[in-house]
Amino acid sequence: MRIGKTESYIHEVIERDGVVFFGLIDPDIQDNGKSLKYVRAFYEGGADIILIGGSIGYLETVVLDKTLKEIRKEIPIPFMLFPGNISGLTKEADALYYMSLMNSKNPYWITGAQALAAPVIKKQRIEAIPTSLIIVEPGETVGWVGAARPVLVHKPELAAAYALAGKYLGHRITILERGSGAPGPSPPEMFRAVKKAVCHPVICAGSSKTLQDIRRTILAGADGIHIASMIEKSKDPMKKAESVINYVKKVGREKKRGKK
Amino acid sequence: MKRTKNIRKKIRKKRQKKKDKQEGPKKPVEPDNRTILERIKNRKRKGPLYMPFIDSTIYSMDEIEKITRNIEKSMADMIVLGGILNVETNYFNRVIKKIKEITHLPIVILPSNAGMISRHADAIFFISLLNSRNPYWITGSQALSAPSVYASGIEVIPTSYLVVEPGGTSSWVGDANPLPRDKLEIVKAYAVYSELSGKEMICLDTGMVNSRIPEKIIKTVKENTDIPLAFYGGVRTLKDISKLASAGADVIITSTVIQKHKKGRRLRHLITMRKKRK
Repeated sequence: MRIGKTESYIHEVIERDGVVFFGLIDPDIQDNGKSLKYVRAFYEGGADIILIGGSIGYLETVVLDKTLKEIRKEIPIPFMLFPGNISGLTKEADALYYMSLMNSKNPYWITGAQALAAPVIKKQRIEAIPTSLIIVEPGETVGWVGAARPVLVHKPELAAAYALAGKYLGHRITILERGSGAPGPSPPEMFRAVKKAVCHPVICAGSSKTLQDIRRTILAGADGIHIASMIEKSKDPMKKAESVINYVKKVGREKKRGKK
Repeated sequence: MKRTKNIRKKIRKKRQKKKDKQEGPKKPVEPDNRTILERIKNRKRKGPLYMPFIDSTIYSMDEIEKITRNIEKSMADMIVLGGILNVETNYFNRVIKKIKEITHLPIVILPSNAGMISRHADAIFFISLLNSRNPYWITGSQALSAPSVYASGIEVIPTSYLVVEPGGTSSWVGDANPLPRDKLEIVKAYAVYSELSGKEMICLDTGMVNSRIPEKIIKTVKENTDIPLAFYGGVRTLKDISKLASAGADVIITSTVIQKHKKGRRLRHLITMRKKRK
């Protein structure tokens, strides 16, 4: 399989900075103005990739197309999709996390939805990056919707086993997700175990609440981090985005130094 | 009376000669430094690879030995080792060692469940039954077996296993929701998904309907993917093999039945005839 432009870019950024920063935007289509504000905040703060999605529910592709087209006129960094279901796919994005919810109890979320979407993805030539999505306790909304059997938070071997199985099935990125509202990101031991098992990019999705969370996660081995609520909840998104991204990059450099 | 005695003597001599002929030395195999996947993708000869299947879970060691000798005498390319049921690790290792005493052919594991792994094999088709109703056969057993696959150090080939109506034994054991045989769009979707999700091979198991090879399904898969396609399940006759080869299958996994039939003469005959034509 040929590696696409966005995937190569992700590897380049990891190589250069030690960590990739994904600014996550929940596509509230009715409230176009708000989304654009956050996108700008992330871009000007120095984010590497804008991520669209992370919410449940059905996204109207036509509306998403229009929204993205508008936003992309002024934001030059790559846009990736983080879909909740087979909708929310658009050619206007640069790439897509082609995720399989590895520990779901329902085959629809493991291979069903993905297979149904496959012909459209291929036809539209959307860059689909095969990804393992592993839900860790508590799971929250995404765990509930995806009928996941959340990996026990104190059992890193379970996450590592699922991550390795994903790699052996062709996946090239692993995402550990605890769900929005979880008390914090997956523990460092889990990131260490998963990174050791797969070696390819391991991403921390959501639940980072403090700078300490971010620091522990990246130093434990995470190659990428999704941030949304930290910025959304702040009074000055622009400023907050800049300071968080600078901090993330600083820790990334520290991680790189530590390796040498 | 005398005539019967002479005839009996002749028969005995013939049997002894045959026995001596059977247990011969291993056939030399061209040295090939490529991975198993590369050998499947870039075949030196035109036409598919023939990989007879050995079921390590329902046959005894003696039967497996006989089957392997039959395969060794045929023009097979590699051996696929798997089973319907489960196997105990030590026994599985002994089976592989026994096979290696008889032949130089590469051994690729097609696992029936977690636990069917050995560091003495050459590669493993790391399969996921994409259209199973039970997540155990999609990611569960894969997660359980991943650490021991890693420890074995053998080549891992990410493979998707697709069961099409009516499906064979694998469909029953794997609790599959068989893809409808006449809805090629659905087969196409799963085939495209296999490639997009990073799989390097597709293994198609259809079970035979009126002993007919599903040529249209194979052609649909081949037209929509760039990864090799292996066909498994009920391949028994020369016609089966011809149809599979014409439809574009890259790997033909023949069933254990013909390996055993008439001391494997049938298998030898099938593969030799087919290879000579191409």
